[in-house]
Amino acid sequence: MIEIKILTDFTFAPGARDYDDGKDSGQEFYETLLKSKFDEALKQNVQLKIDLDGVEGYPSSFLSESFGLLGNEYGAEEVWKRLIIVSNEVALYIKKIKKYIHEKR
Amino acid sequence: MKKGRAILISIVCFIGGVLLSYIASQYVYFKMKTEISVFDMSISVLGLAIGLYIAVTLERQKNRGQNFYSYVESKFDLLWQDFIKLSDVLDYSPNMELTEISKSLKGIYKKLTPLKTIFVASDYDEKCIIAIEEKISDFDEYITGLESNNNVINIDTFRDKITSKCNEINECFASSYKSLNHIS
Repeated sequence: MIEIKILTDFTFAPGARDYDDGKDSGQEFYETLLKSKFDEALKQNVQLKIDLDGVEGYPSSFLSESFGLLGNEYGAEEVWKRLIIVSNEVALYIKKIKKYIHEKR
Repeated sequence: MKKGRAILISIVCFIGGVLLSYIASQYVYFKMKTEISVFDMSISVLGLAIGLYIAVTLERQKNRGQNFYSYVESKFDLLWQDFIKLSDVLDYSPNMELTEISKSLKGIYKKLTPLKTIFVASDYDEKCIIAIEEKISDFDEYITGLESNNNVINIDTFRDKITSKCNEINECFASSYKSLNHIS
């Protein structure tokens, strides 16, 4: 299993949608970490576990951009079945991520 | 000890009630029958037992409702207070860091989710809490989706819309509070 723990692997304070909005954006997360880890998981045919806990909070724009791009690139169903999302602090983030992955862009 | 005493008092009251009810049923033209009618006595005991059962059941139901109301009300208050804090800060700030907004919203979600679970798991109407969740989620999407510069949102530019959305949520809280009062 491939793992991403956002708190230690990316940031303590996720930013907004894209590079124009500032650092640690959803686009930055997708391009520097999420995409490469997802490719690795596909290559090894294993699950990608993403741990959301521990950070300050997730702006919807961050989740929408990063997971929306992932769903758009690899197909919503393929992405959704390969992910294991850990969000013990706020379960609602999982619901939001599912929505953004399945949203057509 | 207290429970034993309560049972003793209940038994004494019950026997007193049975005797009173029996004597009243035997009271005819200022004459008291000296013999005991087993039938009348049984009716008295049965009548009082049924009355006692109804009273105890109603009391228990009322207590259950009140306990649930007190528990939910305290959680609901904390949730609303958190949202009021956020909307007050948004009301006065010219600019705000995105991190601060998402941190506050995370705190709100942390309180909201268990409250929603309590409502759904119980027999009470969960529409109000679901409406609040939807409104806050929409607000989150709106405010964190606003254009930012170095992760700072210029609140003044979007003030009218932000205030209107905050007011909508506060109205939703207020109407939910009214429906919550039906529980008590």
